[in-house]
Amino acid sequence: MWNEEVLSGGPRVATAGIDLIDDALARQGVDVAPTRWQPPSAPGLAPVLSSIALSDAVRDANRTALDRLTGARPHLVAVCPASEAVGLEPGVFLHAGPPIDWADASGPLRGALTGAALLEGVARSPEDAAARFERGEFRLEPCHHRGAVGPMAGVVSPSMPMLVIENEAGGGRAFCTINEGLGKVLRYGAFADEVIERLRWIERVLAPVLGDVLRAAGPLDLYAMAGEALQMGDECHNRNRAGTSLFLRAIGPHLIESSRAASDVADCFRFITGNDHFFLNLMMPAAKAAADSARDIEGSTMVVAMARNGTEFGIQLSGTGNEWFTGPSGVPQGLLFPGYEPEDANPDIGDSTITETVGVGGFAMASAPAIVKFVGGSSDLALESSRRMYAITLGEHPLFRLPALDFRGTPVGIDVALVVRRSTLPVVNTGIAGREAGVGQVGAGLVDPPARCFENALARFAERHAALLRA
Amino acid sequence: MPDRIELRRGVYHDSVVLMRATSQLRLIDGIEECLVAMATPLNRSLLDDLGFDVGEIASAATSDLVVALRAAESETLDAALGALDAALADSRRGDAEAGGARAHATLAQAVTASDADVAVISTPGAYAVPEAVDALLAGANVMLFSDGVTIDEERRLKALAESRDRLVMGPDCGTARIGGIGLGFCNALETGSVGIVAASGTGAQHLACLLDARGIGVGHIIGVGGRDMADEIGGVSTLRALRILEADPGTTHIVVVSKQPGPATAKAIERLTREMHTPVTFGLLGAGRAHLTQVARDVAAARDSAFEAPRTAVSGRRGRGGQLVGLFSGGTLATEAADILGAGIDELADLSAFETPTPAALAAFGRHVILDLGDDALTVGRPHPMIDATMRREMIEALAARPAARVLFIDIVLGYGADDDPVGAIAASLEAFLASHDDARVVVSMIGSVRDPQGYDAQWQALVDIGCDVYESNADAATAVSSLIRG
Repeated sequence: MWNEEVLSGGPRVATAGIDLIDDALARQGVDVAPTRWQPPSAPGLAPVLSSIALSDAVRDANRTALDRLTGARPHLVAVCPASEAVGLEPGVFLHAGPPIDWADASGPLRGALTGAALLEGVARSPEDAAARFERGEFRLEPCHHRGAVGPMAGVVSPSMPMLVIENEAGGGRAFCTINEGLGKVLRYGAFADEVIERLRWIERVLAPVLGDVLRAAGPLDLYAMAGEALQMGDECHNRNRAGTSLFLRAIGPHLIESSRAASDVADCFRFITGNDHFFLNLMMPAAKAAADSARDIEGSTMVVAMARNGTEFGIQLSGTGNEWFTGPSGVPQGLLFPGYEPEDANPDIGDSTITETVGVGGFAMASAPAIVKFVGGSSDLALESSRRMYAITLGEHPLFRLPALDFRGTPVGIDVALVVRRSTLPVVNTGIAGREAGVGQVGAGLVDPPARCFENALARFAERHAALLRA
Repeated sequence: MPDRIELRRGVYHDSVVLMRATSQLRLIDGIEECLVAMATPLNRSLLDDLGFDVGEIASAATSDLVVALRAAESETLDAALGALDAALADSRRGDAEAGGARAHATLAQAVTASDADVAVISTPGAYAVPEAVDALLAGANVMLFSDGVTIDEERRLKALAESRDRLVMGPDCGTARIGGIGLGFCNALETGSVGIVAASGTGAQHLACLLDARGIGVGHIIGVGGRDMADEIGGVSTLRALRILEADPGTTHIVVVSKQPGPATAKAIERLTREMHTPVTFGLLGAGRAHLTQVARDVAAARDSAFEAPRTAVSGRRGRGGQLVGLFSGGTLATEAADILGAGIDELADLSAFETPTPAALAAFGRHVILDLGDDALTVGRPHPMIDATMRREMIEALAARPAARVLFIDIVLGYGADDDPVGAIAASLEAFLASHDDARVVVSMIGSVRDPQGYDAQWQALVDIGCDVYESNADAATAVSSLIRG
C-alpha cells in the first residue's frame, strides 16, 4: 500500500475540491494533479449518487452491461418488409423517440405519418390522413418498442422494406428502413409525390436488389465497417461518407453479378453513391442491436436508448426496463440551409442518438473535426467533445478508435449517475428538420439533451433499487 | 441586380465548412443571397430555388465548388469574395487553443495520470463519497477533508477501502502528514520518528507542535476521522494506520490521539498493539482524562526526554471575572477547553444553546459559552474559520460593541493551509474588544511551529502587542481562563 518510497519521500497527490489544499501543497514544493470538479446537476440526488458509488452490485451490473454493449457484433443479414421484420400490422405506424400522440406530434412527425399513410394507401389525401390520425384510426408506437430505430421522424409503415441486423455475439435482431437520401424526404416530414415515388422505388427496386446482394455476400460485419469509417473522417451519425463508401465497396461485386436489369442495378448504385447518409440506416440498427443486448440488467445505470420524437427527448436505462424518462426536446444549434431562419427549425427529433448511446456520433467527434464547424467551433472542440465524454461513460470501445486521440477507444456506455454527478450531458450531433410538415431538412448542428430526463431516470433507478443500494 | 456565380473546379471543402462560410457571407452588408457549396444535385436545386441561373454551372461536377452571390453593388460582391477566401483559408488553419494549466476532468483520471498515492478530497461533504470511491478504485489512498459524510457512508467507504487494501483518512480529516509532506492543515515540522494516529486534526497539530518545539521530531501523521474509533466503524482506519507505522522503519514511537474508543474497537486496538514492536502511547482525551499537553508530556516521558514547560506571555491587564466567550477554530481545542473549564463552571453552554449563533445572538447571550466555529453546522456553504476569519471577526466585533462578556478565549492555528495572517485578520476586533471595557481580557492558545509560513514569533508578538494573554498550551490557557472567570 504505502511503500518505503512514499513514507520517506512523500506521496504523489491528486486533489478534488478547494484550491486551498492545492496551494498548501504547492507551498511545500509538491506537484499536484488537480481535478476540474463541479457539483452535480441535481444536488438533491447527492445521497443517491453516494449509495450508487458505494454499491458493488451496481458496479458489477454495469460491467456486464458494458461488456455486452461493446462485445456486440452486428451484421446486416437481410432486407424484408416491416410487416414481416417487426410484425407491423396494417394501421400501425412506428415513429422515432418515446411514445407520443398525434395531438402532441410536431410538424415533421405529422408530415412523415401523413406520407406513410399515403404510401400505404390508407388515406386519400394529406388532409384525409391528418383527419384519420386525429380521430385515432391509426395506432402510433415507438420504433424502439419493436426492436427498430428510425432517423428523424423515424416513421415506419407495414410495406416499407427494413434492413435486418443480427448481433452475432449473443443474438438479437434490430431493424431500420433504408435511407432515402437528402433534401425532401419522408424522414424530415416531406410527403410530396416525389417522396412517395422514391419510397415506392426503394420497395420495388432497391430492396430486392439489396436482398439478392446479401444472399450472395452473406452477413456483412457493420461494426468492422464503422470502425474503419471512424479512421476515415466519419463519426457515424452526421457524417457517413466513408461508411457508405465502404459498404458500397463490400457489395460492389455482388451488385455487378446481380441478375436484375442492369439499369435497375445501376440506379441502385447511383442512389447509394449519391447519398452520403446511406450508412446511417445501417449504423443505427447495428447500434440498436448492440444496445438491446445490454438491456434489462438488474442494477445497471447504463443508458440503453436515447431518442427524440420531435417534442420530447427520452432515455431508457438497462436497470429500469422499458420505462422512458423524458424532457422537452431542445432546438439544435447549428447551421441552417440558405433561406431558413432559426424559427424554422423543429425541436430535436430522431432515434439516431442510438449512435451516441453506443459510443460513436458526438462521442466520436474527434474523428470528424469538420462536424464542429456546424457550431462554429475549432477542431480542438471536436477533440474536447470526445474527451469530455470519458467523464460520463463506463469504458472505451475496443473496436471504435480515435486516431486523433492516439487511437484511444471511443467513450462508450453512458452512465446516468455520472451524467448527473458530473453535470455533463451527452454530446449529440444531429440534422435539423423544418418545423412545418413537408419542408424537409433545414440544417444540421449539435443539441443538448434535457438534464431532467437523466435526473428523473436516476431518481427512479434509486427507487426501484432501494434494497440493492442499501446493501 | 447582378448575380455572380463562380465555379471553382476540383476545389473540395467539407460541406460544413461551406455552410459556415455561407452564413458568414450572408452577414455582409449588401449581400442579399448567397450559397457556397459543392455542386451536388441537391445544391443545384437549392440554387435554382434561390433564383440563380443554374445554366451557368451546367458542366459542373460534384467535386466542383460553386460560389453564388447576389448583391446590388458589384463592390459588395468583390468584398464578399475576399471574405470567402479568408474564411476558407481560416478553416484550414484551425484555432489555436489558449494555453494554461490543464486540470483533469475527473479525479480518477488525475489519480491515474499522476500515479497518485493519495487523493485529497475537499468537495462539499454531500458530494465527496463518489469521489472517494473513484479514487480508491483508481488505486489511491484517500484523505477525506470534507465533512458531512454520514456514518453509514463512512462505514461502507472504509469497507470498500479495506477490500482494495487502501486507507481512508477521514471523513472530516483536516490534517495529515506523509513522508514529510503536510496534507490539509499541517504545520511545518522537523522530521522525526514519532508517528501520530489522530482522530482529530487540530489535536494532532497541537500535539505535533508541542513535541516539535521540544526537539521531539514527528514523522507521519495519519488522520482517521473523528468517528473511526466508534464501534459503528470499528477503527478500520486506525488499525490500518497502526500497521503502516509499525511497518515503517523510520517510526520508533506511535501516539494514538482520540476520544475514548468504543469498547469493541478499544479491544481490537489493544489486540493489535500488543503484538506490535513499536511502543504505542495512547492519548485518550476527555473530561477527567488526558489533555493534549499531558499527552505530549507522556510521550516525552516514554522517550526519556525532558519536557520544557510551555511558553506563556501574560498581559499586565487586571480584569478578573465576568462572562466567558470562547470562539475556537479547532474543534478538539474547543472541546479540550470546555473539558478543563467545565469542572469549574456550573453551566458552560455550547453551540446547541443557539438556534442560529449570529454575532448579535452571541453578544446578547449572557452566559459562559464555548463555540467550535468549525462545527459542521456552521461551515455549510462557508469556508472553515481556519481559512477565513470573517465569522469570528464579526462575532468579536459584536462582543466589543455590546460589552457584556469580559473574557474572550480564542485559538490561533498556524501552518500550511491556514490563513496567511490569522492574527492580523482579527487584530482590530481584538483591540476593540479590549478597549470596550477596562476588565476585558483576551486569552489565546497559539498552535504553530517556528517554521510555519506565517512566522511564529511575529504572530505571537502581534498578540502580545494587542494585549492578549498568549499560551503555547491550550490546556494551560484553559486553566488560566478558569481561574480568571472565578475572579
